[in-house]
Amino acid sequence: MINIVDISKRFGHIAALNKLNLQIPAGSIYGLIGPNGAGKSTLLRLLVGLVAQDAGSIDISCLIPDEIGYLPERPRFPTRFTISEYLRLLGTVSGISDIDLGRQVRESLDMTGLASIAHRRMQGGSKGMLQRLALAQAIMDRPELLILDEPFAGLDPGAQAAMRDVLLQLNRNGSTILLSTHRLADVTQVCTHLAILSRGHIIRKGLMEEVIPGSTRVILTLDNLATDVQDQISAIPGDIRFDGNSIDLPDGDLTLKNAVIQVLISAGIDVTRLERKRVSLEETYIAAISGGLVEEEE
Amino acid sequence: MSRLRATVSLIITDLFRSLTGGIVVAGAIAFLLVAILSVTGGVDRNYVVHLVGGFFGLYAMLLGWLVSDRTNRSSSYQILVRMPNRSMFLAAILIVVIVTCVVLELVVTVLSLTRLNEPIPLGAWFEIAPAWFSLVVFGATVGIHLSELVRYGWSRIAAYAALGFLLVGVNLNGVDGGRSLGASTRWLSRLSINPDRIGWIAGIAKALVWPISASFRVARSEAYSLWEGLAPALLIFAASLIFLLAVMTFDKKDLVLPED
Repeated sequence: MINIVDISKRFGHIAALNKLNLQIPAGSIYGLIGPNGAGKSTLLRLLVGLVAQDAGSIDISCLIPDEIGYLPERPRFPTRFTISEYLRLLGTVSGISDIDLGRQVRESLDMTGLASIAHRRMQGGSKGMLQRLALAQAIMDRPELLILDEPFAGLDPGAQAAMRDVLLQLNRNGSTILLSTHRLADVTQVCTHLAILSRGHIIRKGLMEEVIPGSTRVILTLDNLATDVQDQISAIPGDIRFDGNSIDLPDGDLTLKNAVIQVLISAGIDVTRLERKRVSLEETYIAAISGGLVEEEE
Repeated sequence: MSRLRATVSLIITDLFRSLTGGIVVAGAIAFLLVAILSVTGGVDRNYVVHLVGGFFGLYAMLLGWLVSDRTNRSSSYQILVRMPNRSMFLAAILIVVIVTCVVLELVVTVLSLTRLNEPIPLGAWFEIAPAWFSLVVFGATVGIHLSELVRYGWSRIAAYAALGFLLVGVNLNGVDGGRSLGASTRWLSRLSINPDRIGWIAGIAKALVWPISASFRVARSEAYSLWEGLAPALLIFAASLIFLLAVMTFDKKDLVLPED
C-alpha cells in the first residue's frame, strides 16, 4: 500500500532519515519504535506532506489527503472552540458532506469516549482529553490510512486500553495504521508489523514474529565462574552473554549449548540453576539500538 | 468552496474569540476617535480618502502579518494535512484579513460621514471604493510575506527590504498628501545621502509606488488619465503576484511549526 524507497531527509547538518526503505502492507498495523531522534516523527510528517524529502520517493498515490488521518506527536488545538464545534469545522475542511458530517462527528466522539463532553471548550482540557480529541479528529470519516505519532502518550491505563481497542476496531474495519510509540507493551498488543529505527536507519523490520524471534534463551547460573573458564567459553563461536555467575545462551543452538556444558563439566563447575527465558521486545529493541543487530539498510 | 469557507471560519473565529481580535477592533475604534471624530471643524473628502484608505492599507498589512503568525502553530497541522494543497490555507488567511479590514473600514467610513463638512456624492464612492479595496488587498499580501509562516530561507529579509524600498517610494511620491518631493530630498540630505546619487533608485521606487499614488488621485476625484483609472486594478494584479510568491515559498517549506 505504501512504498517508501531510499528516503533521505536532512535538517541542516543533521540527517534525520538516511536512505530509508519501508513497505507498509494494506490492512496492517505497523509499529515504528526507536530512541528519541531516530527519525520516527520525521518519517510520519513526510507521509502526511508536512515536510518534503531531500531524496527518494514515497508511493501513496492510491490515497488522497482526505483518506489519511493524522495524529501529531504533541497535538495542539485552538482552545476557543468546543470539541464538537471544532470537529465539525475540521470535517468540513476534510470535505465531508453536510449530510454525513453530523454522523461522522458523533461516531468519532463515541469511539473516543468524548460524547459526554462534546460541548465543553478545549481550553483547560486535560492531556488525556486532548489526546482523545486528537484521535477523534484523525479517525473522522474512517480514513484508509491512519498515521499516529505517539497515540498513547499522556493517557491513563484505562484510556490506553480504550485507545488500543479503537485502533484494533478501525483495523478490523479496513484501516491501515502506522504508529510510532515508545510504549513497547502496546506495540506487542496491537501491531502486526514492526520497524526499529535508529539514527535515520531501519535496523529491523517485518512481521512481529520476524522482528521478535520466537526463540527462548537458556540461563545457566553457576556456583562459581572462574576467569579462565569464562575465557574458554568466550572462545566458543556463538551468541554467549555473561552476567556475574550466569551464562546466557540461545536455546535453539544445540551445538553451542553442548560445547558450553562440556567446558563446565571439564572444569568441574556446578550448575545451581537452569531457566528458560522468552526473548521480549524490550530485549530485542535494546540489543538492536545498542548495535547488537546489523542495520538492515547497510 | 465549503472547505475554504470552513477554514476561513476556523481562523476568524479563533481570532475574534481571543484578546488579539479585541485589540484589532480596538485599534480601528481608536483610529476613528483620534483621526476623525476628534477633529474640530469636521473633515473633508480628501482627508477621509487619504486617512481611511492609507490607514486600512497599513492595517491590512499588519493584520496579514498577525494572522499569518497566529496560524503558524502546530495546531494548524490538523487543518493543513486535510487540504488538497497548501495554497488553500494561505487563501483562507488572505480572505480573513480582507474581510476583517473591509468590515472595519466600512464601519469607520459610515461613522466618519457624520463629521464630513460636505457630503460625498454617491457616484464618488465608485472611485473611492476600488482604490481603498486594492490597497487593502495589496497590504494583506505584503503582510503575509512578513510573517514566519511563509518564510523560506532568506525570503523574509527580501520582503523587509522590498517593504523598505516601497516606503522610500511612498515618501518620494508624497502619497501621504503632505510631503512633497522637495521635503523628501531634504530628509535624505539629513541622512547625508545625496539625492542626486540615488536618483535612479528613487526613480524605481517612485515607479513601483505609482499605482498607490495614482489610486489615491482617482479616489480624490482629481482629473485622471485612463492609466491612472486602471491603477487599482494594477495594484490588485501586483498583489496577486506577491500572493503567488507566498504560495510558492509556503508550498516548498518544511512545516515544523512551533508549539502553542
